[in-house]
Amino acid sequence: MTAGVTAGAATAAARKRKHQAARDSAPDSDAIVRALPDPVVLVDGDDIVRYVNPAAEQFFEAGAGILRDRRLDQLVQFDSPLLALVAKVRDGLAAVTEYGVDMLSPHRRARTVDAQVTAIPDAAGWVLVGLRERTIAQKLDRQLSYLGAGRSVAGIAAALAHEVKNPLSGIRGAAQLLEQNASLADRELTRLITEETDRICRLVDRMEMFSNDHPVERTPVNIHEVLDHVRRLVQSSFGGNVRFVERYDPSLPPVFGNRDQLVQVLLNMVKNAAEAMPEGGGEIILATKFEPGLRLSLAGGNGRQRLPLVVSVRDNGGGVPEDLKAHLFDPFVSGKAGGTGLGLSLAAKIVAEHGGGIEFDSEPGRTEFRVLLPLHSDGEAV
Amino acid sequence: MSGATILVADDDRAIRTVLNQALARQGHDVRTTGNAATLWRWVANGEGNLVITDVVMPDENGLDLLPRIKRLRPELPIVVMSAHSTLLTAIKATELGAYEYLPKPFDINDLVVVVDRALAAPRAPAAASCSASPSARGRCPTGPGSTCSHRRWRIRR
Ligand SMILES: Nc1ncnc2c1ncn2[C@@H]1O[C@H](COP(=O)(O)OP(=O)(O)OP(=O)(O)O)[C@@H](O)[C@H]1O
Ligand SMILES: [Mg+2]
Repeated sequence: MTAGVTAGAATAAARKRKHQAARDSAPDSDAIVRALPDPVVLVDGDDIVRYVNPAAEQFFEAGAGILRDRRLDQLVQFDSPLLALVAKVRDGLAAVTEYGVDMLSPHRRARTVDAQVTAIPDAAGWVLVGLRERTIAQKLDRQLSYLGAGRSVAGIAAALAHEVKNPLSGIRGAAQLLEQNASLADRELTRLITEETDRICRLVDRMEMFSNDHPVERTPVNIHEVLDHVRRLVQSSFGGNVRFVERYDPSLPPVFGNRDQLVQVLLNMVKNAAEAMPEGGGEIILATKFEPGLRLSLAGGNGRQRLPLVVSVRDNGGGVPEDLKAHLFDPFVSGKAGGTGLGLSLAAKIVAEHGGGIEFDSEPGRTEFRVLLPLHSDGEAV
Repeated sequence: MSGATILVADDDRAIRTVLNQALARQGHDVRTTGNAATLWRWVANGEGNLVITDVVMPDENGLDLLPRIKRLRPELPIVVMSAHSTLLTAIKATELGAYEYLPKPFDINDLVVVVDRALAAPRAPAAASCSASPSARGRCPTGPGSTCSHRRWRIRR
């Protein structure tokens, strides 16, 4: 839809021809109802089910042959609000929608749906029942509001992290206890359990950070101190495999921001660089410079902005895979077997909150990520 | 000091099992409960040489219990563990008199070290142990922390 707004006249004409061709072989209405992802049930004036689409078969956990010719009140509980909705429509309403209807499946699995009941014109008493199952996020949201934990995404992520870390503690601890008496071969397996639980833990930690919308404290931050800290962190986990070269502009003014968040940003980028290193080891160049001329227009920003503070992380690894480049900053985009794909998206989010942006160039043997930040004077961004 | 009695409160059964086994293997006598009320009863009865408690429990927040325990038995060391990964929980626990804060999930070996240290010198609050990264107050990138976190920090009294 929105694509049409920006498309030129020539492509619009081409699309019109394509539509014309499609109309000649349009699918029939049955095929359309069958394709609906949400359950649809057609009920006649005597409450007998006359049609179910495949989504409804799945929802009621039975084939169309079984569902058809049953009474609607045999599919749902006798006191289901759905029956009241159907009665309302038969009483003269054209359509009613009820949100958050609780339904029990044949196997007593509780589910929450939004239900819409529509009268069929010219067919006395016939109604169409459409159901839409609530998403996990909506359900979680509801559970959270019961607990009074708030409805924000941050609240959900925090609650989720908490709920996941408790069982993880149990699993990890049990594995470690087994390890104490395990044979060498079994120890490899218990190690695997602890390492993998740590990975899940990292993932939920990141999700939590990602959705954290609390205001953060900002102060003038010495970016060289941040880089130094990051370098030490990475060096301690990657050891001698990585050689660091530092090219700093000592006259660079402080960045106005949150130190911990800036550590996070650069840590994610330097870690990526270290992880991209060739087997035999490689080189990471950390550089800062002041580029007064640089003006960029940022998504959502007003006009072009000056972002003169440049922090770059360059490596001589294999480069960003070509097919990832377009979506590199989207969450869960990863080219690594064990990667969560949150590192760069988190970095981009934080940098955007600092009024800056991230850009990169990559080819095999030379990849550079640059963080561009605004200048601040007297506590205010310019 | 082995052969101490350790009181454990956590509403997660898996964690109780793990703590029970890990500490029993060190020769300790371990008593576990899933709620704060039982823990309080034990403490009030004068039982136990060390408390390990969760924060979020069904009946009461473990942090709310802390000042009451401290008032009644100031010498009893309390280790607080929580799945909340916020620095704030750690700071609050320490301010309320916790001997140590352990973010979940933690390493069993770290736990054993913390317990030994707490039992050996329950009365002497250790000096701030974190010398690395002076700019990050309260942060300790090298000490035991959540096993997974790149935000490894720990606060010790
Ligand atoms: N310096 C780099 N050289 C080559 N590829 C890179 C580099 N930086 C990022 N990439 C590619 O971009 C992908 C996304 O990076 P991102 O940091 O977002 O996630 P990740 O590293 O896969 O997982 P994690 O969440 O653990 O950081 C990586 O998987 C990698 O394929
Ligand atoms: Mg990464």
